Amino acid sequence: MASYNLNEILKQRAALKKQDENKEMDLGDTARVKVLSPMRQVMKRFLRNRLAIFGSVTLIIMFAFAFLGPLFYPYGEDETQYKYDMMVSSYAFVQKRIEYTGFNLNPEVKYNRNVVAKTNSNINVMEAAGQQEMRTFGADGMVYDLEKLGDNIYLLSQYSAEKVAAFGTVREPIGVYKSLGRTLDFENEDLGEEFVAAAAASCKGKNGSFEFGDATYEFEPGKEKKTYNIYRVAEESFQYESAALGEAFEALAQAEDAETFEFNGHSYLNVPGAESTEVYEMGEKTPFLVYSTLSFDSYVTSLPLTDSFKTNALLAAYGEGSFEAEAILNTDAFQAEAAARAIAAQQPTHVDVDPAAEGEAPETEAPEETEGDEQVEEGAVYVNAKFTIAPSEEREGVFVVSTEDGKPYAELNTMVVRRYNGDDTMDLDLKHALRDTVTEMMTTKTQSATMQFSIPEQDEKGRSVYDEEGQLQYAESTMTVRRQSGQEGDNYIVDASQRRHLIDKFAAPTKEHVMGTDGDGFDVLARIMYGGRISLMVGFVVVFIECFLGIIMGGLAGFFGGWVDTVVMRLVDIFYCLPFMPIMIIVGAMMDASRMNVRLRLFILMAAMGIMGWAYIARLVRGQILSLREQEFMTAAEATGLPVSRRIFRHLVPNVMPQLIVSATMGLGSTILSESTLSFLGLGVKHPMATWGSMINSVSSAAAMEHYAYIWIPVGLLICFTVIAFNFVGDGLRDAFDPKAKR
Amino acid sequence: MLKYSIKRLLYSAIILFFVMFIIYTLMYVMPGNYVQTKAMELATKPGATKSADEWLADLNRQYGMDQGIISGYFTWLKSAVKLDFGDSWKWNKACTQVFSERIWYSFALNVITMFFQIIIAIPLGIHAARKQYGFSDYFATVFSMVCISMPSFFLITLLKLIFAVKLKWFDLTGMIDPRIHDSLSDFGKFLDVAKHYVLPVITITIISIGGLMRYTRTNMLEVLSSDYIRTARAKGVPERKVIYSHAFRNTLITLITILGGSLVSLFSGAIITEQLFGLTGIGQASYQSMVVGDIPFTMFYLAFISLLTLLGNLLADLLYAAADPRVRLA
Repeated sequence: MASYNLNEILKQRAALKKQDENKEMDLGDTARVKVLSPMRQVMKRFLRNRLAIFGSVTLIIMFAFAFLGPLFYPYGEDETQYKYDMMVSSYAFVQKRIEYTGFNLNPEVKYNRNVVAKTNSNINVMEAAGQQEMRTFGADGMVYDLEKLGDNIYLLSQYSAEKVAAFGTVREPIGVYKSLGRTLDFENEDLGEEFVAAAAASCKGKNGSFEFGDATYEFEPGKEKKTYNIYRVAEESFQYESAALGEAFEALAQAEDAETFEFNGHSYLNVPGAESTEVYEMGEKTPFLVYSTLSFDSYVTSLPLTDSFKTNALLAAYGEGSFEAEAILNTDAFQAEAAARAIAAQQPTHVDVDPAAEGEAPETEAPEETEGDEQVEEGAVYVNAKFTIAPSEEREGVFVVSTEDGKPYAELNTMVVRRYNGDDTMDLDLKHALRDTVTEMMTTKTQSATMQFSIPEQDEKGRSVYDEEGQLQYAESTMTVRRQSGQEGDNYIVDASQRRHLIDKFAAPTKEHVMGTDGDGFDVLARIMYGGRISLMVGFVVVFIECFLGIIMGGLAGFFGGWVDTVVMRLVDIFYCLPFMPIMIIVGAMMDASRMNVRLRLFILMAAMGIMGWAYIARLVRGQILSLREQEFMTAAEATGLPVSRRIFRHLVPNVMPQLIVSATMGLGSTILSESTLSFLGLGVKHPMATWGSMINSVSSAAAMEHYAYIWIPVGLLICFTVIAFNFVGDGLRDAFDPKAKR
Repeated sequence: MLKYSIKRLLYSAIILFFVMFIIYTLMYVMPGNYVQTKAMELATKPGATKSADEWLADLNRQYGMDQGIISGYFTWLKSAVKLDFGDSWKWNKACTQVFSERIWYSFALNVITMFFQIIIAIPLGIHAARKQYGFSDYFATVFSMVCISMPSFFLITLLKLIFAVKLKWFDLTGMIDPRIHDSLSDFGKFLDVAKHYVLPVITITIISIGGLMRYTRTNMLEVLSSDYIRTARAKGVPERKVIYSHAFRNTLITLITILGGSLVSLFSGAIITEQLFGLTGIGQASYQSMVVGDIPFTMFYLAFISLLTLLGNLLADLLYAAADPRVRLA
């Protein structure tokens, strides 16, 4: 073999072959009959069957569609699709504030709630009467002064008051006369029997007076029946509650127009009554509430203002014009943080539904890192700062608060502009524009007006949309302002038609979504692909379980016979008798009740279907093995001394294979059918996992049926075609394996 | 024959015993709080006759749910053989009463369906067998395969879309037309109900037609290839006579077996079709009971179905022996 040359040998062979072809063969030549291997025979017979070919091609297409399709299709199984759409919604409201709001200056002050509750009506009274000040006596013994600081700003102060004296016609209680026992209980000094007699003589009827000695006494009915309170009337007298303060005090008190006066370093208050004037000693006056109809709008959107800022600004508005308060000065940092928060809040719904990603939230930290070190340290913190407040030059009745370096910081206005849900998230420019529109409407008394303005875009939940850099996305919007009468004056509702970022639900087919979207905004075509995956997978897993159990049980029964056979076959009978669909429905309902995880549920469903269906495989395997084990090759196998397991699984089972493959193929079809029926009933695979059955169910209500026919008819046909294809292939295989067999 | 029948009956009883044991186990392992919640719901329903505790006590008394699984099963068995299945939770009546109220609707549906199934499937099957590998054979094969592969819910939705939504010939669901039913005469009422049976009958007929057609065709082919057919043809018997008196009569033996066996299933109801068409048959009742966890009625229905299956098998075997003298029963 030294001169072995492959090339030459091949050439020789080709030449020989040519000779062979040319040579006339005689009838008895065995080479004339082409002998195919059994496998190729089966193949040939299978390929001759048109229906089987149709089934195979359908199956190949179906597998490619379900398993390869998603690789090339851009949308996921449960990926929510969004769209932009014009939508009119109540965006904001404008209201001219009439009601005064109290800003607390001094939280430690305890006050009488009744007095404070009346403040708004008191202010109305003052405005009607043009009063500058109003004094109220609280039930807690305190005196409350309401002062007008300027237009729209009132200050409520509180001080203690102790009655020191009274002058004028003073009535001094003497005692209580009881006409039943003709007795008189004196309050202070006993005036004697004669007085009692005089009182008894005159105390009749309702009220009146009588003279006794050189004084006049008055009586009136007392608390109990038939009793009279008796007072001594002293005209032009000056009576002290405790120690007398002297002539000078009296002179001061009785001076004309002496509402308050100073004496010995104390302040006193005259409270004129009908007949007498009472003199109170005033305690220290503490202002504690400042009332205003002004609302605050910061120049930086949504910047929170502290209470101290608000109160100090209101106090300074008509006063010094400057004040100190805690406020965020680093507004850039504040804006950046707000944007970062907003983006972080949007992340989970936009990117992923996976809760793990939400927990990490890497995007939240990213903007802060880019801020730079020194700014991160500062951040949006409250610092003590000086501000000036002055009336606006451009707008009437508006105050502008500026920082020390003259930057406008906030604005005070009686016209409140807020988002419809009450949030203060609008730009000042927009607020100004809305205010101007509403002011014009108020003067011209029109019912509605329209304006154009660019406002931040909103997503499906009404939140603002930010781009990657944390900048708001603006879009032009047509706003309609309409007047609405309310209890507290007129409201102006702003309806904005704006482009909103919405979940694309029930969309009709478009270029991007060939089959449209479903009720959750999922792409239908993507779900059909993933549904096909699950349906096919369920089919294969279930049939695998069935075959696994069936081969073992049937193999044991067929091979051993005797009592093993009896037991297994009785078991098979029992499982044959168990009603499949009712039991699957019960299992499904039980899984529903225990609110099982979707994935676990799928596994249990497959296991249950496999356990319910192994009996027919076992019967088939047993029958085959019973006939096979009587054949010579099994006797030979036994004679060679092969172990039992080898005889079963190497010699018997391969011979059962043809029948098994046919049954399994048919079983695949019926399993897919059962699974889709269960899913259709809502008892099989659950949302958000897609299956063909549940997709039909979601649009099969009477109302949706007609409208979404383009969804459920193709899906139903897919189920049909898959099952038909499996059946055709099964049929074709059976014919190919055993052409003489009964169909 | 009699001995064989008795033997088979006893044997069926044993199978039934174990089948019911499996079903009982399924009910037994139902989560306890689920059963409790259901009982609570039941007691708060308007028109409830018992409190939740009473329902549970009833259940325990009759179904032995508070005992061990074996003794519990025998508790159930004891009342079941006395045909006492307790009160249905869902329907608030005795199970047997619900059964007797509804069974005839299902029976009527299945009888009509079986009639149509026979008059359509058998001639088609014979025709296909006569022209094997011809066009009509292919057509019949494909048609029967489509029928077998058609998901019933899809077919129902399609029929509803075409005949109820588009053409408005029938109502979407229900047994009667509630707007006019009361004003109709007795015959009118009958026609009204019959009208509501049209779509369900079409559905079940289409779905079950395929199997019978294939069966007929296969048997017919077998018979047609046998020697006596060749003999008959050879001696000049007209083809019509060959097919219908020689071949078909022999096919009939196996057909009778099959159909006889399915006689009992006339009572079993069609769960999905009845539910989706709103027919108040036994299938719908069982579906709604199963979904809400109505243990008494579910047990009753499953016992009933299992009994029917076993009886059907027995009947088929006996009929086969009776129709074909070559078959010997042992």
